[in-house]
Amino acid sequence: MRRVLALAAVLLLCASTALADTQTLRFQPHWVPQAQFAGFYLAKEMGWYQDAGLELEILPHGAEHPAPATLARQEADVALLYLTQALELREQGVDVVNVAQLIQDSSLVLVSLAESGILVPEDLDGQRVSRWASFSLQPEALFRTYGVHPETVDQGATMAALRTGAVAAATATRYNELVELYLSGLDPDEIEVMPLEDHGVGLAEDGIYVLESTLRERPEAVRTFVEVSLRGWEYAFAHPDAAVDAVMDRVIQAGEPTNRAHQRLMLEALRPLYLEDEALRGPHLDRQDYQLAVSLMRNLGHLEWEPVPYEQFHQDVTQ
Amino acid sequence: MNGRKSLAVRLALVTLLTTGSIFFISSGALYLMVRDIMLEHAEDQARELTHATANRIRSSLNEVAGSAQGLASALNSGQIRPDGLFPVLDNVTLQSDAVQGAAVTYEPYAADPDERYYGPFSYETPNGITRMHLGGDDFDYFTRDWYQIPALTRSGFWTEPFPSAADPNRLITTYSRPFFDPDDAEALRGIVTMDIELPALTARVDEVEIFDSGFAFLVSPRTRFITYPQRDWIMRESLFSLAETLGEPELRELGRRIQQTDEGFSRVPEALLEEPARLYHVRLPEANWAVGVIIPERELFGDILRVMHWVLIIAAIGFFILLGTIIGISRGITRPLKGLASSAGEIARGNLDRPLPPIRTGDEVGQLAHSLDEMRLSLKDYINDLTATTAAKERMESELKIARNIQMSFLPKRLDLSDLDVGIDLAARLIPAKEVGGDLYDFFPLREHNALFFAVGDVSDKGVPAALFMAVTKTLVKGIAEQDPRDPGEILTRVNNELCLNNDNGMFVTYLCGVLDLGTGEVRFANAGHNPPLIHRADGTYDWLKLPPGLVLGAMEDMEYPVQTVRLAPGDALLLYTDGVTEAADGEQKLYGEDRLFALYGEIASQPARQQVDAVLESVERFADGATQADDITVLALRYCPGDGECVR
Repeated sequence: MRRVLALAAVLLLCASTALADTQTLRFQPHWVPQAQFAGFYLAKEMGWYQDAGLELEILPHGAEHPAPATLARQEADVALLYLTQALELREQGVDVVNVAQLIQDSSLVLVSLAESGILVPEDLDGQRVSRWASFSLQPEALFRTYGVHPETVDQGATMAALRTGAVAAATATRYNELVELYLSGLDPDEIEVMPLEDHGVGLAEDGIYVLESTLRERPEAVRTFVEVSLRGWEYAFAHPDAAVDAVMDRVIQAGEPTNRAHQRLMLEALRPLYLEDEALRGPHLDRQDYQLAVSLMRNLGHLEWEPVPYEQFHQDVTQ
Repeated sequence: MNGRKSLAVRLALVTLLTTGSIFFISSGALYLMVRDIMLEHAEDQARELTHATANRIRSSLNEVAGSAQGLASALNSGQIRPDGLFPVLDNVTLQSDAVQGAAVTYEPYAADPDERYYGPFSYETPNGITRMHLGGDDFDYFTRDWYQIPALTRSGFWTEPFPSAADPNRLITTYSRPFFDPDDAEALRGIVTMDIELPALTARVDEVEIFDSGFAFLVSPRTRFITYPQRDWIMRESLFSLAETLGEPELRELGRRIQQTDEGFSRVPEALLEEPARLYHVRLPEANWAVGVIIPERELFGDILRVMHWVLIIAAIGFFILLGTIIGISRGITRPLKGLASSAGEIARGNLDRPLPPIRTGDEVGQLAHSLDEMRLSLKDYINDLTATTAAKERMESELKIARNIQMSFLPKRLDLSDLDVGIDLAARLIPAKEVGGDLYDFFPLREHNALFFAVGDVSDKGVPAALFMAVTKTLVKGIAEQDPRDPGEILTRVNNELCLNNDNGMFVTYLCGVLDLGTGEVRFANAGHNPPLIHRADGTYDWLKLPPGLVLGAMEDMEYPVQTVRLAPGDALLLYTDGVTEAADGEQKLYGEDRLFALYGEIASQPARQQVDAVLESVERFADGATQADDITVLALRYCPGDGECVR
């Protein structure tokens, strides 16, 4: 009897050790389920986080789950943010750290119907242009650069306002809204695309962020998450069908009214943003990209505090 | 038997190919025409049905839009205050079958200076009307399409279907309309919205049936399916997304056509239904939606395909029957023909005794067999006759040859004057036109009188009768002349009388004879209708010798024949001939003529008699140039050489 008890005690000890080895990490993507997060979904579905000793919980995501707030409130351990969102968090005193930069370029464009003849930024003067309230920085920088004064309105979740002519131009990402326009029947020659990148106001986008405290306390978990996620992305681009399958599972679970074609085209639009010569361009955040974002935001009055040094803001955990 | 040569196979092949081609062309054309007609009918039916469905939806949409318009007008006029809206909204929702929810949402702080959001909303539930307020930090309605688009465009707007704010499981579409400040028609105050639940709208589309499996569906402005039999496509897939997923660019074309045209009848790419189909679509101008009715071609063309199927089966059976019939008929034709061909081969090889196979058909083959058999018998008779005739002919020819030999042996070969001391150069030749001839010449010495008798004659006919008549004449002349040769006229008279006896055939003979006194050279001529001779004097002159005329021998009894005496000097010559010479014809029926003979004689008269004869014959032969000889030809040449007989060679 004593023996049995001793054995049970040993087993219990082992189990608790195993439990302690598996760390739970809560991850907050910053928009509704879609191929923008294919690499994470795929790595999770393949069980790679688990294999690396990480219990990854992908938190519900969408408009009603703003990633900066979730991270600031520590309801998530790690979040996907745009560079500008992260700098705004810093401004609010939340010490976020970029541990991997995934999208090095800007995918933002201003799009208009070809028939409206908006070809250069000057053509925007006096036009009604919609932009997302939370992403107004870059369009504003563009307008200021060219000294144009469009009538700006807040942009919703669809491109209906552009298609119905309620606005003359709208903001769009290459991987989502441009795809949506294509899938609503507009051929590429029927729209005019003005990439912000071409006018000096393009900023790096998706990056993986944690709080400084998290990185200090659980560096291994953060490093594992980044490494497995990068593998997930490599795999997603190499196996787009599997990636879209994983995305569609999430999409249907979440009741999103999107479709396979949209997600497939989104993944293909993300490919040049993620890859160069078949290799991932991340996870390093370029110092110049950081400084461009800081100076743009300071010029437009979005940052008042002295920004943190680059070395403190970005820490490549894979090195 | 070689198939290529077989009449039966060729006939069957040609007939089948021809009828087959005609059949396939005509049934193909028929199929296409009927197909077009059916397609037109289907288009008519589909058009009617699509319009009916579209109209029912439009009436619902118009009812909703009408309610919204009414409420917006009331708000524009300031009749309703923001805090009194709920009863109005409840009322609208209750009273209209179409409207299942109504809301009025205000511009920021427009209804209440303290409230950014103000949006009373009443909607139907199974338990009655429920009220709620739209707007809040987590529901910024200002950027929703149903608010923003009418606010910016200042006109009514139908949204794409979306989940209701009250219940995410309720799919609704909303008509929204702006309203303005009662005191300032330019100042936007807010938006009126009226909802219609999709099931209420789409049940009517789902009810539509056409043929067995035709169906109707509804698509949004983005061609997203609002209703469709494949439920998991609803609110998710559009024609454009399916075009990508199925890799079918034609679907994208179809989607754009639906977006851009008010109505139309189009082919649906196979990828959509996994079979060819037709689509009629009508666009709803209010909401920019489109109603479509799809009919699978399988059903559309099912009836005609079934008919064509049977036509092909019947045709196939028909072709087999036709094939059998043709083979039967052609065998019926070719079997006797084969027998005939074999018999004809036997006939060709000369076997006329083998009878033809019996053919009892009364058709052309029977007639052919009958004719062939008659030909065989006729040939057989003919060949028998021919054999007999040939034998007879051969016998006759042989007899004629003998007759010729006999006749030729009548004619003196050479003149033997060796016992007379006088020189005469004489030569004569006769070339009969047939085996035996009617010409004659003669010469013989009259030793008692120291004279030479010579003559040339021509019986009126040719051949055997003439030869016999000639033999008689010659014999008579010789017999009488040898008795008393002094008067050749008397000789001819007597011969004439003899010939006239029993001359029932009316034959006669021209005859020229002369008795040459070898001592004096005096010639006593008598002529019975014969051509005048040529005379050549030793001094080189020559001419026709004019003789008194006399009737031909054998024509009339008791004729007198005058005698003319011509004295020949030594070296003088005579040429006697028959009309076979002067009337010899060439290929063009031109006669040799007396002039030609006269000219020739001038050249040859001094030659020896033998050479003169040969020269005349050769000249005639050259003139005739191969033309058939029509008459006997006789030439006799003579030269008087008294004394030492120098001129005789």
